[in-house]
Amino acid sequence: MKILLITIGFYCLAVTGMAQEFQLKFPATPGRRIKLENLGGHVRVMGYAGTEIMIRFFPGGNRKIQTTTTPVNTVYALGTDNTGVGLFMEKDTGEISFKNVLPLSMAGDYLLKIPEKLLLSVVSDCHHLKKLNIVDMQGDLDIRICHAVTIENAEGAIVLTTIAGKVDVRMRLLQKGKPVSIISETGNITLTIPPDVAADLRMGSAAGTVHCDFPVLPGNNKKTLQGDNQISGRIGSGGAVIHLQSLSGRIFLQKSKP
Amino acid sequence: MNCEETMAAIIDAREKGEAVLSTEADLHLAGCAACQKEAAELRHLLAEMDNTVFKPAPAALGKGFYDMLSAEMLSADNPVKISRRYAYLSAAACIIFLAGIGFATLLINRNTNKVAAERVTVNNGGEKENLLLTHIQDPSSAMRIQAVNEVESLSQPDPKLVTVLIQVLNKDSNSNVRMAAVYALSKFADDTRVRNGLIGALEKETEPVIQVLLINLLADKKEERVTHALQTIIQNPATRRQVQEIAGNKLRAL
Repeated sequence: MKILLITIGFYCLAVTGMAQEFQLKFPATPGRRIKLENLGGHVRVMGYAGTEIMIRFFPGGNRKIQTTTTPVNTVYALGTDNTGVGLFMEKDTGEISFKNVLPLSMAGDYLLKIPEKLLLSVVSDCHHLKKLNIVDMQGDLDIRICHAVTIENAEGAIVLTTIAGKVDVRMRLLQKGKPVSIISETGNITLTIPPDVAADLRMGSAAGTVHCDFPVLPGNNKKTLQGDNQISGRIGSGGAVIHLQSLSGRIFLQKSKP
Repeated sequence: MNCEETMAAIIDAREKGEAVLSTEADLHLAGCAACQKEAAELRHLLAEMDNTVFKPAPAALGKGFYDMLSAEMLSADNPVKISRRYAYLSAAACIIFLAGIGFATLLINRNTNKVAAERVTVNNGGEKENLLLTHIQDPSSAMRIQAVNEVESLSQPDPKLVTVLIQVLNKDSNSNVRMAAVYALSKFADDTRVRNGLIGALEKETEPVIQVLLINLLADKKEERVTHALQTIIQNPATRRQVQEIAGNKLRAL
């Protein structure tokens, strides 16, 4: 519901003419990656079955980025805005990257629509990205951020590290060979997976508790890592890799509802 | 006249008992050195043949041959009657012989399959090791985690592989990959080299979650050499408070 409201909010802003847009064709061929670096504010990434990358920028504090009619890029202290949405773009055949160049005083929110099969990499320090929301991505996700993250309907591998904030990941599909590895230092981790999965499991929290909907069977490996709140085993016959670790957060591994 | 015709003339003259060749052959021989050489060789050969002595075959040999021929002709007219008992014995022998061939084939196939299965197992082990060594440099952290995770399924990994895992634990920039390396190495933590690698990694590691995993692993193994690393962690003001508490508890328990 919250996500729906946020999305509606984004679109309302876009309709009122506040949003600035960038669009580029970048089809998702195997191994192709999009990298987002230090995008500010709230970032929502939506996968879709298309070939173009569409970026909408919603300026914070109603301050629109000054763009020129001539093909001259705006230069900031962090770099050159060659997209018109406060980002510096670099592109080669295998990867396209967008790096924030706006000062913190001009930071806004971003809505991206990208081909669902692209590999997505999101990196941010603690000053920029405040909240990340990823929906309907089939490609692998590689995320290193500082705050909360929500991922819905993911199908690929997830490698995620964050420091604080809640991590809420809902997998539409869990595949062997596509590991799910999540580290959150202080935030709770909730991983929701289909009820019929078979997975090899490692999860634990040094100071938090671990909760699991699934019966965890002993793993094949007898000499497993032990310790406080460290759980090692398998769900069903095992297969897909799940690693969940937190320092002080709670961990929830739950079944998705049909 | 050419050389061939001259040679033929020499052979004809010998068969007719003539000592002299025809005029044409003589003329050709007189003017052809090659033909003279060939004629000399031919005459030498013919002289050797003339000197050959043919010995007559013994009379018994001829008699034996004709006796054998008569016996064969007689048996063709009166075929041998095979008794029923002899036929059954022959059939049984054939069945036993064929069954023996089948059994031997089965055994050979079974051994071949066993050898092939062992070869596949060995190859799979090799493939896994190759997979890790290849994918460990992959830019995708998911691929690196998957490769590291494959090592856990190996009962006796190659020492080179263990070295690579320790390097991953010490050097990989992604903390999720390093965490997967701790999980994988925990299986082989009784190995001295692995134990040393884990202690070295704890001294360098700054990611709190992985620090805790390493502390728990080494403390559970009653590894006393970890004392120095634990003291460093406790005294480091940059270390997370929870990690310091866990390190202190484990240090007291050692």
